Amino acid sequence: MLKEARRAKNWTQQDAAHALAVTQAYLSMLETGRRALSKRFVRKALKVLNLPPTALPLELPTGGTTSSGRRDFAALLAALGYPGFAYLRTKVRRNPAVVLLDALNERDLDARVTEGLPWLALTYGDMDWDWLVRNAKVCDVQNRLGFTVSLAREIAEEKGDSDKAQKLNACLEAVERARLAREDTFCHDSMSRAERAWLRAHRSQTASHWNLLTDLEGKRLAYAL
Amino acid sequence: MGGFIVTMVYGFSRPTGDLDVLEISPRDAGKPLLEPGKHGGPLHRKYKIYLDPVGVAHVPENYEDRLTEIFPKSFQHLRLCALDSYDLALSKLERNIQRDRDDVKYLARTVPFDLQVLKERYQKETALAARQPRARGPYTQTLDLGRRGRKKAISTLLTLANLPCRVPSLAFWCSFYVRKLRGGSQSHLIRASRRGTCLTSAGRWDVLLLCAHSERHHQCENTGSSQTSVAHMDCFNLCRRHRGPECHHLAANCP
Repeated sequence: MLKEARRAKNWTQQDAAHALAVTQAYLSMLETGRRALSKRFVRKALKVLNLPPTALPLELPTGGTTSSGRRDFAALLAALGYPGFAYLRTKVRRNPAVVLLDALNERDLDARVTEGLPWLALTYGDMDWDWLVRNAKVCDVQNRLGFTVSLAREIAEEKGDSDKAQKLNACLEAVERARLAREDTFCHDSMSRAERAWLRAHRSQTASHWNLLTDLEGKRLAYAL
Repeated sequence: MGGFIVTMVYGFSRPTGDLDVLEISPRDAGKPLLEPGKHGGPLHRKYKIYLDPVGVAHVPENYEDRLTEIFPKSFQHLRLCALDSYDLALSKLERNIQRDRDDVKYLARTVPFDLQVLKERYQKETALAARQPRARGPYTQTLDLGRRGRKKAISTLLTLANLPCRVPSLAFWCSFYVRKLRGGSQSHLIRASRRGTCLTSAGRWDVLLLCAHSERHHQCENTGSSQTSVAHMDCFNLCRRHRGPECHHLAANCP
């Protein structure tokens, strides 16, 4: 990725090393994988070489967070350019695949944050889906992922973006094979029994397919309009 | 109203990117305020937060009487009013998406609600109670149509018409509601749709306007006032454009 980004800018290793404030020899080792990339270097490289956030390192989910963590997801989405939280000023960016997996792994998320998750799948269609699907299965959140990607695909189809829809479809096929029969919520485990019963009767076909208790629909999302 | 009030007034720590605005008074002030603050406007580009005017709000009746001022004396030429907590909760039942339910749950825990008051206001002051079990029912569709414009809102009201035009109070109610709707108080749309007497069998909004005009005209003659209101003239002009056989018929029957 580092090498590709450098070549995309028509830079020699010397040019890039100068811009990144490292030696050419060290950059060569980083490009060939003989040296590990530090977080600091990655963030600098993202800025200098205009790399997408999908180039950021993939870290395993950190597990459930407390209520204070909710704000962090809003900030993470904002850092990735989500228009719904554009007013939040934050610089800490993480790989969208990591953010998505971490969010899906939450027991309770703010509804506005969950509304932003399909946007991640839609906007960063080039994220590492294999890694995401594999880890979603490990965390037993493949139904949540499937639902998120289904919404993103719906929106992509609605907007006539067939390339994105195809990419998302490939991910869906992989998740479909691991679909769980267990009923789950879309990151809203704290909902009452009455609310669960109501949602069971009024959820969309997509939510029903993924055994999720939610009334979130693609057409209701602001960025889908 | 909306999530902004839940956050700023009631302290719910959750993000919101827009400020729902129900009504701006006086109406002339609406445009200069909304233009720079609307989605894509200069203030939105600068602060990333925008004003979202609510076309047809689903708020309980008489909500105006219970408004509370927020950030008093913070602005020189601006007064901001927030919905009462019960009205806020009831206004969120209409759309009924997850974030609305979360807001209501938060308000219920924080305020906390007197269930009797909530129940009474729900039954007496909202149209929700009269509707089908599913919150998003035909009534919502009526209101959604209303969002497309005031003219359509009135037209939608009339499509529900099923009462004969000879109801004694018809002209009065027509006049009242047309005046209110034209004046911009959206809560009256809800009130009007609940009040069957404002609905005519003809299903044409010009009929309603003609009745309103007739009634106003009648009043003018009685009082001997030569002053003609703007609403009166608007009604008159609209009626002239849309006049049909049933209008003449109704005009003859209006008091």
